[in-house]
This record gives sequence, C-alpha cells and structure tokens, in this order.
Amino acid sequence: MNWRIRLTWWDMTLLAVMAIGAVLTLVRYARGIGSVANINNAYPWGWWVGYGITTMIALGGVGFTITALVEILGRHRYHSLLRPAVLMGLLLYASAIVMLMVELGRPWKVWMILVSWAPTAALYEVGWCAFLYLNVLVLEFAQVPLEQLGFRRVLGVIRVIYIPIMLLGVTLSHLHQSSLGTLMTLIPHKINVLWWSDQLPLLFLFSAIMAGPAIAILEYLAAARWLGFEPRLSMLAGLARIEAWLVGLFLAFQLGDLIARAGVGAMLSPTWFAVSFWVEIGLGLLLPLVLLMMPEVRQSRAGLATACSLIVGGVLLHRLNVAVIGLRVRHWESYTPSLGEVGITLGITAGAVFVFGALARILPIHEELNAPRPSPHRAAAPDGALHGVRERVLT
Amino acid sequence: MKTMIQDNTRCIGCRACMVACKSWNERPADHTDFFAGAGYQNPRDLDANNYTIITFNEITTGARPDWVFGRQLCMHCDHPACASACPTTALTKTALGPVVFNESRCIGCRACMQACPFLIPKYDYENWNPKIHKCTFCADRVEAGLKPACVAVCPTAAISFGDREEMVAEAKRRIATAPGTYIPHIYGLEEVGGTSVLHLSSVPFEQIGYVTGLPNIPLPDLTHRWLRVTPHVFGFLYGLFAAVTWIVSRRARLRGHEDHTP
Repeated sequence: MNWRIRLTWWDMTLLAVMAIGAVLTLVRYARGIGSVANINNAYPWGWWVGYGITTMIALGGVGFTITALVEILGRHRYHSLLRPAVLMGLLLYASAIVMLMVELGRPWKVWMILVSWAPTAALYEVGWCAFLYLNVLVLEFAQVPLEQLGFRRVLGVIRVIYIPIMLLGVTLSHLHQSSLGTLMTLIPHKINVLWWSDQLPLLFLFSAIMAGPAIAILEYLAAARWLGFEPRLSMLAGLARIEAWLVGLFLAFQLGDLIARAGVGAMLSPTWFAVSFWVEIGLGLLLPLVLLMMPEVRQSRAGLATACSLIVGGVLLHRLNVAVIGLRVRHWESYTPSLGEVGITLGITAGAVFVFGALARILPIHEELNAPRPSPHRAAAPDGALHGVRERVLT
Repeated sequence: MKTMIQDNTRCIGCRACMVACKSWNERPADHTDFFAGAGYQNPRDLDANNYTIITFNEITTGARPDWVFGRQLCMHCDHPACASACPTTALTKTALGPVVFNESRCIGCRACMQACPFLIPKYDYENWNPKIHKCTFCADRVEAGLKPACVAVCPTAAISFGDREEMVAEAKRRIATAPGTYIPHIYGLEEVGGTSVLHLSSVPFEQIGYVTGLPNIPLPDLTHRWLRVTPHVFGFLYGLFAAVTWIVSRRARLRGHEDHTP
C-alpha cells in the first residue's frame, strides 16, 4: 500500500471548501442554528434534512443495491463496481451522520436514541438501522485495508461472517430507507397532495434503489477519467439497462399512486407545486428514461453521465419536495436555504469526495487499476486527469 | 383526564391568559411590534417565548366589521403526533392529560414540530443549547390540584377546566342552549382522534386562524401501521435474501461444474 499521494488542484479546491464549511460549523455551534441557517418554526427541516440527510442516505443506497446485485443476485459481471459502491455507501452515510451532528439542536445527546424505547417513532427506527448499517459498511469495507496491511487473522474472521453480515446490511437498508418515508406519512395535512402518499415508505425505498446504479455508473465514469483506466462500456450498458427498468417502474409507481389518490387535478393546476412536480418527473424520470432506452446512449460516456446525473438530481428534488418544498403551513411563512446552510453541506460533501479520492489512490478500490504500483517511495500519481500539479505530498 | 374549554364567544381579547402564561412559565417579555397583518394582534404567532396567544381576527358580522378572537395553545392531543414522532420519548402524555416535554431526553431533531398538526411546538434557534417550547397545560399546577394559569386569570370565564366528561357535556350544553351564538362544532372533540382542549366559536374556525381540514383519526396510526410490521419485515427479508443468495450461488456452482466437465 502506498500512503503517499500527490495533492492535485482538485484536492486543494475540496480542502478549501471543507475549510469554509468547518468555519461555518464553528459559528453554528457557538451561536446556535439560527446564526447560520434559515430554518424556522414553520419549516423546522430544510436543506440540511432534504439534501444533507435524506438525499445522502438515498444516494448511500448505492452500497446495498450494488451489493445485492452482485452478492445476492449473483451478477458477478458487475463485481468491479462493488468496492467503490461500498466505500461510497460508507462515506455518504458518514456524511449524513456528520450533517446530523450539525442539524440536531443538541447533537451531544444523540446517543439517547440508543437508550430509548420509542417503537412508534420512524426516526427511532431510522436511527437504529442507520447506526447498525454503518457498522456493517465499516466491516465490509475494512477487508480492503486489512488485506493491504496483512492482518490475516482479523480478515479471516470477517470473511467467515461476511455473508450473514452482508445480508444484514441489505435488510437493514430496506428498513431504514423506507422508514425515512414513513416519517413523512405522519403529516398528510401539511404536505401537498402531489407528494403525500401513504405509500411514501415504498416510494422512498424504491427511489433509493433507483439511485444506486446511477451513482455507481457516475462514479465509474469519473474514476475512469480521473484515475485513468479504460471503462468497460459493455458492463455499464448492462447496468444502464437495469437502471432504465428501475426508472420506468418507479415512474409508473409514482404516477399510478398519484392517480389512485385522485391527484391528477393538482398535477395540472397552475401552481408552483405543480411546476416543482413536473421538473421532478420530467427531468428526473421521463428524460433519463427516454435517454437510457436508446442503445447509443447506454454505450456513450457522455450519454450515461447525463442520464445518471438527471436521475440523481430527480431523487434530490423528490426528497426536497416531500420534506420542504411541498410543505404548506402558515401562508406568511417561507423558507429559502441560507448561504451558511449550503456552505456547510458543500463542505461535508467535499469532505466525502476528498476522502474517496484519496482512498481510491491509496487502496485497491478499482479492479481496473490493480496493476502493481511502482516504487513505494514515489508519490502515487494517477494516469488520468488527476496529474499531481503540486509537489505537495500527503503522508 | 383533565380537559379545557376555550370559549371564544366569551373572550374579550384582554390577553390576561398570555400574561399569566408568561409569568408561570417564566418566559421573558418581548418587544411589542405591530406587523402587517391583522392589526392589533401581537405577536403574530406562537414562539419560544409565547406558549399561548389570542388571535385578533377582523370579520364582518352582520353590517359591520368586528373583532372575533381565537386562541392558540397546545391541544394536548389524546394521541399526540409529536410524542409518537419523538425518537427519544422526550414528549409524553401524562395520565392527567398534559403532553409534557422532558428537556433532558431531547436531541433537538424537531420531528415533533414537523409532526404537530396544529403547528404548536416552537424552537429557540438562536440558542446554542436549544429546547422545544410549547404550552405545558401547566402540568405542575394540574398535578398539584390547581387550574392552569390561563384558566385561573380569565376574567370572563372564557376558559373552563375540569374532568373530560364534564367539559364535553358543558360544551355540548352551551351549543344546544344558545344555537345563535355558537357554530355547531366543538373543535378538538374529534380532530385527530380527540384533544384535551376544546374550542367553541361564533364563526367557522378557519376564519379565526385555526388549522382545519384535519382527519379524525389519530395521526400516529399513519406511521404505526408501517412501523409495527418492522420486525416481521426484517425476518422475512433476511430469510428471502438468504434463500436467493443460496439458490443463485448453488446454480452458479452447478453451472460451473458442468462447464468444466464437457
């Protein structure tokens, strides 16, 4: 294992964004949430919950979807996506936890969830499942560094318990991804009819499953470009076919549910709610579905990147619509995220990307790159666009 | 179980209840600030320093515009959505009726604020160690056999307090004996499965700032029907995934075996 990596301009930019986020976080702890955020009594949850927690957890679903695809359904042609997916899941869940530590009013009390008995609270279940699943992800991913460090005995133990642990992770994911939706079923009178549904638990679970392959494809394309390997486009085309099915089924589910709840009128009404709904459906589901149904798009890097980005954006907008945008309270109340809120989320996201980028250069995450490294004394420099432009070395 | 009647037809808008509430709960005074809304009302909404407010609503009754008062305070639901949403049981409904907040358990997730159909719990966002703030039903006074502070000071007996059955009967009696004064609706009797505060009014409740159109079922049922199956779903899914894993890997193993023995 080569611990020395060259810091590129990309790394520097990410570190700068992280530093800004850290300063804002310090202000938040010293002077209260209100000093940096616009969340208020009418909108107690805003961008932090909509993006920083519920969307990050949904995107973190890449860990369990790819694991289920490869390990449970036995689609071993996608095996090279497994390690990046587990690492992404780990980092996205970790960033959701960091976000939670900023978002909670009293983060130092968060352990209270683990010593409470509150089976009627969806958040209680989300808290427990996400906590356990984070441990599962750590165990799953730990195999990579343990293998490199040569801790054979610990590695042996993990390998023995791997299958039951992996099954536990996939099961826990189904439970808490859906419970995030259960959370919102409690307020039918507050959420616009376009988004409140008693099927929200299943909609949230399904959208997390749908986000998984999209994130996996985006990561693979990015890694191929910046770490410098030839992407296996035929493999991506196969996953894109699966993704097209998932998007189509989710679209049918969401629209079918809305029609069954007699929401067609709201869908066609001239309101901002309807505009947000159509952006979500049109750009987040319909357009990527059409794109992914075209074989030439499934074979092209730019086409796949476009379609998958749209899907990820659609999942984000769905979560925001349910938790923030679709909320109707007092008519004079409003909420727009503040620069401070956005700054902190950008800092956390930059942190996750930075750690991923660093680990992808230190550890054998991508099977395509597993060719032996040159001398351990030279800083690891990727062959792709991530040329080390500075002679700074991270040790 | 104790219950309160807020009879808005008897309210004269003196706001003694707001003052008594502030002094009993030791909430600081606010700077009085008129807003671009319904004129005389202050403050505009409940917040961390105001657990109850009288709303001033300008409504044309007959030929002339008139003030019709309404009141906002925690409804102390029989099946509180806030308590059911709390992951640390910091909110609980006591046997006497109040829904009380236990500061030492609160992690500050604000799920109760999101869950409350009546938009009651408020937060002090400017505090580094914030708390949920809402009407306590003066739980400490009620435990001691006293009436809540607002009930004790109301000069026109617009607020009544007593046992549940007695109060429901009293509310029904008032509507039955003076049908011209009251609209025939006891707000809180059926809303979200019933509450420990009942409101009476001379005009429809949506005209005086109340949240209307609420379902008559207890809101926690909506999440409970999903959450109660969690252990079963866990067992079922774990078994299902284990079975699929075993079948798929066995099939792959057999196919691999065939491949090697042509």
